[in-house]
Amino acid sequence: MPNIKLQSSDGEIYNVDVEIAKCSVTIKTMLEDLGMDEDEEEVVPLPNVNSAILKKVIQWATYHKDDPPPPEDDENKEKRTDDISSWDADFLKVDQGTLFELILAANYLDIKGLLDVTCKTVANMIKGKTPEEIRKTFNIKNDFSAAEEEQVRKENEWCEEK
Amino acid sequence: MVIRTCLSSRSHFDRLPDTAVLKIFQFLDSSELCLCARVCRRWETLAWDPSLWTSLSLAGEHLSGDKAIRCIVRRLCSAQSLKKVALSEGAWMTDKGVSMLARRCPELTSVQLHGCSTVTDSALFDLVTRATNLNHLDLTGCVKISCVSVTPGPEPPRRLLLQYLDLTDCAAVDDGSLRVIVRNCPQLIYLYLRRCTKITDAGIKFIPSFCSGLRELSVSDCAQVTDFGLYELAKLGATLRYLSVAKCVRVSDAGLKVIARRCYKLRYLNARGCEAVSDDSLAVVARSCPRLRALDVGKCDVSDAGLRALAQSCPNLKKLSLRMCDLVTDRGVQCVAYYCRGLQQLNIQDCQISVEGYKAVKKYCKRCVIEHTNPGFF
Repeated sequence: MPNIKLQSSDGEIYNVDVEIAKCSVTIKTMLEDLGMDEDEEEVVPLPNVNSAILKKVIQWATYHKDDPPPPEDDENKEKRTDDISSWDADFLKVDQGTLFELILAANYLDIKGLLDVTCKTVANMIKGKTPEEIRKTFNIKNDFSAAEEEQVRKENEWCEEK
Repeated sequence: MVIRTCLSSRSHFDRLPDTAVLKIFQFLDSSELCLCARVCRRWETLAWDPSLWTSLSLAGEHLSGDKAIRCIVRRLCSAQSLKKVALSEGAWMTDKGVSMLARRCPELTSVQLHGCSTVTDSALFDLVTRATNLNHLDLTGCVKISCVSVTPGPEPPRRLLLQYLDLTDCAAVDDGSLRVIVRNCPQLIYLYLRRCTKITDAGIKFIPSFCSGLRELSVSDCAQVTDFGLYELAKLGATLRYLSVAKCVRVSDAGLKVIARRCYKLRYLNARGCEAVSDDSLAVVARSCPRLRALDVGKCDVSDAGLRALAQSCPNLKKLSLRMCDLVTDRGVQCVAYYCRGLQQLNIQDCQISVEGYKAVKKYCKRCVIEHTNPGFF
């Protein structure tokens, strides 16, 4: 199986099986559009992904290389977040910074499976929390004025059990 | 799209583009989105992105569907993105809310209004007239609803595209309105009329004349339905896969035999509580419907002979209920266990089954869950 070289933002080079690298639509399109010859020892620069994250992404892609292609988003389908495999759950037991880096990388590299599972993980961190608890969890500043906060509360109170 | 204020200590969320935050929000339901909207300005804007509002589900006492839909329409300016609305477990909506859905949500494809006991026909007619793509309508427990039809207007009457209609516990539905319903909804595949107690054979006969593609039908607890109604339903023929006549106490062997012969692709049949149903029709059902997967003959007059016929002809049986079948003994159950190895669920509550029959099921049907009332089986 031919390999390609992926270069992280901080200059590390990783030798990766082409088929595994192609789970990234971004890389796949790059290879096709630029007609990069797979035999050539070409290096694909990935300026948005650092080496620690790229290593994680390759680890994820290698484990999932034989997965069937992810189904297209179907808006009729129930959006579940309790279907994360135990391997993925273990893989994503990382600090918040790394988790968000992985979302950014999956988004940039266009890896649907990884983006789905990382976003689900963050969604699960949001679920069941009050706005204040959410702010605390993600270190988000409340930038509403008191009047705005009251208005927003009113606009969104219809879903609360009294 | 959103101007972010410069924060002293940054949140990881600040680094995500809006598309990624929306992707995360996609996995949240309506009430979770409402809480997110209260976190900060950016989240407020993103939580109300129309792409996230394709489905609204409200479950729980005291939740007002009227208020919900009013707030959503106001905040989104329009609610054109809304395709599914589902109210259950005590959440309620009145004609006001239904009319607003009709006026503001033309793209609706699925509406479920469990137990909205004040909704009237006129609001409902308005909704189905305007939401031209509606194909799933569940009105379980909307006790005031008596009919589903388009509002009369200047244009020639239009047929509805409904494929799924649940009128369980809509006790106001009668023969005349059932005729209007099936006339208006020729595309129906699923129709549930549980406990629509006013319905008689006269109304039943309209079902096959207008809805030739009907695959699932329940008239359980419609106690006025008799064998004559079943003769009519038999005209649905091979398209019918699911039929419940549970507790239609006037249904007997004659009706079921005709159903079995004509609707030979039945996979599900529920005749629970039809005490006039005996081995006679069970044998015909068995012979005629080899694809049968689930059968409920609870409290019917069936015995071991009928079960033997069933077991030998329906090898794919997965679920069987024999609850309160006094005549069934260990021999009948052993026979079922021996031939229907794929059995997954067996109900022998209040039957004369001893540990012997129980053991046979355990032996041959490894995956079978046995529901019973005999404390000695443990």
